[in-house]
Amino acid sequence: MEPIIEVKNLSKKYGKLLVLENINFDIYRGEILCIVGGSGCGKSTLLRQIIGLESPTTGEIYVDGELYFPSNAKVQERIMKKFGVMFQLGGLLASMTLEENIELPLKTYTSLSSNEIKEIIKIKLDAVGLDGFQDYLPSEISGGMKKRAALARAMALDPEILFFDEPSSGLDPITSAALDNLIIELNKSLGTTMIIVTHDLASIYNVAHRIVMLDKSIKGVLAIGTPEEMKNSSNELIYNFFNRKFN
Amino acid sequence: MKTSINNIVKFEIVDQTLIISIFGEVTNLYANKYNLKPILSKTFENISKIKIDFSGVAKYDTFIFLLLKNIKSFAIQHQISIELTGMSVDLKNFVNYLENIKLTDKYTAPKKPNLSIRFFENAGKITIKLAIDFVSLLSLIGDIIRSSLKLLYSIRSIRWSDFPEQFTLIGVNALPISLLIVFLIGLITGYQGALQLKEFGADIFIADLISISITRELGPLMVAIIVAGRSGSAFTAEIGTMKVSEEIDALKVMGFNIVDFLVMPRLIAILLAMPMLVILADLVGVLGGLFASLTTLDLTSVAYFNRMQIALGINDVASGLIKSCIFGLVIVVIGCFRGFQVSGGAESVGRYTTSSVVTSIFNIILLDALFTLLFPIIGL
Repeated sequence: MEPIIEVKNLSKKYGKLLVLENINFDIYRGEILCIVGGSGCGKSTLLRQIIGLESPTTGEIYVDGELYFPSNAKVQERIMKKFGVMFQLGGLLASMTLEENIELPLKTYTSLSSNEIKEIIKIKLDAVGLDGFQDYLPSEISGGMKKRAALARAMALDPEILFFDEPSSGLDPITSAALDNLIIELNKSLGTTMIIVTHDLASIYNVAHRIVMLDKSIKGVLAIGTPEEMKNSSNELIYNFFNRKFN
Repeated sequence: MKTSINNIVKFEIVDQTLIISIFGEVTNLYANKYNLKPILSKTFENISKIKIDFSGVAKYDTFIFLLLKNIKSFAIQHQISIELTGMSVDLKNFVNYLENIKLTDKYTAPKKPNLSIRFFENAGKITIKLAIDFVSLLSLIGDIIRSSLKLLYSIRSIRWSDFPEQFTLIGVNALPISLLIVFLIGLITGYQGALQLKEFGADIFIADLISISITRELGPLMVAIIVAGRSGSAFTAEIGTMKVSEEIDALKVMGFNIVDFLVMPRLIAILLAMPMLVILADLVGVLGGLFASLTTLDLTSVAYFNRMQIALGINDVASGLIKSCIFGLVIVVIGCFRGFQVSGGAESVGRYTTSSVVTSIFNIILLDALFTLLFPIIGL
């Protein structure tokens, strides 16, 4: 399998506080990778480094074999267009309708005509089950629908890689399961690589092909493996996490 | 045989078959390069088949689906059969998926009423909201009155520990800016007045002009506007944030009276701070006027103060101080009321904070106009 993102020797410090130390792992093309770990272990920090919202203190990140970090702003901007991100709270612009939200990147970065943009918006909203909500404001739809709309916007430019920050936080089990299902469906039919930061066990078992587990004690990767391997791990920490136990 | 290359789409006609070959990156980034209009706008009488060759496609996204859809609808319109060649398995799956997205859990959008209906709907909603706002404002004022009466019976009914901090925030911290602004206002009034009075040779009346306008109007008004901007906004933002983060609900559940707990300390602090601010502001305002008259008129400071003693009565200063207390009351009531109105998220806090400052300043000026008319009647 060919890696689409390679993280090499990544460390992150905030001032003197070391959050991530010497992280190494690959993300393969077309897989659903879950980044998990206890609260405060640096999951979201790691995600922000990979996306490029923050710069790692040291280390390298390659995307599609190309050096993403460290590199100049122009290269980063170009590579960043391969990414789509669904933020924890959606990140939808509250003053714009769903249509305008999805239209924004399409209008700015593509040479599509306005008719074609309308059609693409329809396809994207249809893909997340929200066709017909074009004229709705984010405040007029429910939490689960907001997440879906955020996903539609993340997919607007047909990114090769989709990042999810806690997709199931704040959702009930049914809505959350439906969202998992949607993620699996999109991954299967579009072949998009997906990186999901979560600690929702049910969701992890549902969607993950592979799991990267971080831990506070070593400020880095504790284990990488399939859900099955994790669940039957001989390491107590990993076993407890994936079996919802504490000693 | 006829061939035309339109950027990276190639058209060919071979034995009544239109062959469209597509090359390169068929992505929405380069959508304008794949322009099919010139060829599809022609009518082909002698064509019975369209063959699309995808073997040159290097990269694709949703845009290729739109392209294909356009050609297909053209073919259907002209009753021409269509053949797709050179599609990779991935591309076939991709197009297939987009063609019939079938989600089991789709949301159906309730239809939004049209614009004219929505206009009346909104008008109705706003009217109802205004009425509800008015009633809840009255009920807050009622609560404040009740809490004040309760205070007469038991001095410890409100949260005094909040009072020193509020007094510092409202009064002490606002002092430098209030003094500076009222000094400048005194200076400006002094200069403008001096120019006019000089024409009449009535130089000495500058003392009347400054002392009365500063103590009666400008001092209390300026201080009230500053405090509304500084502290009124802070009341709303603070209480609004507490409401958003459910702190208000938590306090209620613990059995605290919200008005006693949050509003009363602020109210008492502002009632105490406002007159103090105003009296100091009056002082520097008069000094500002003195500075202006000394530099522009033939006047000594002794003459200025002597004249001021004659011109200025206790009722002028008192009316300013009474006003300042009432302005303070307005700032607290509106600031806290807007804070309690906050609902939802952070963006609501911002909206109500703006509205709090605007409403307080508007009401302060309105009341000031009213007092100007009423005070002479009651002899102030």
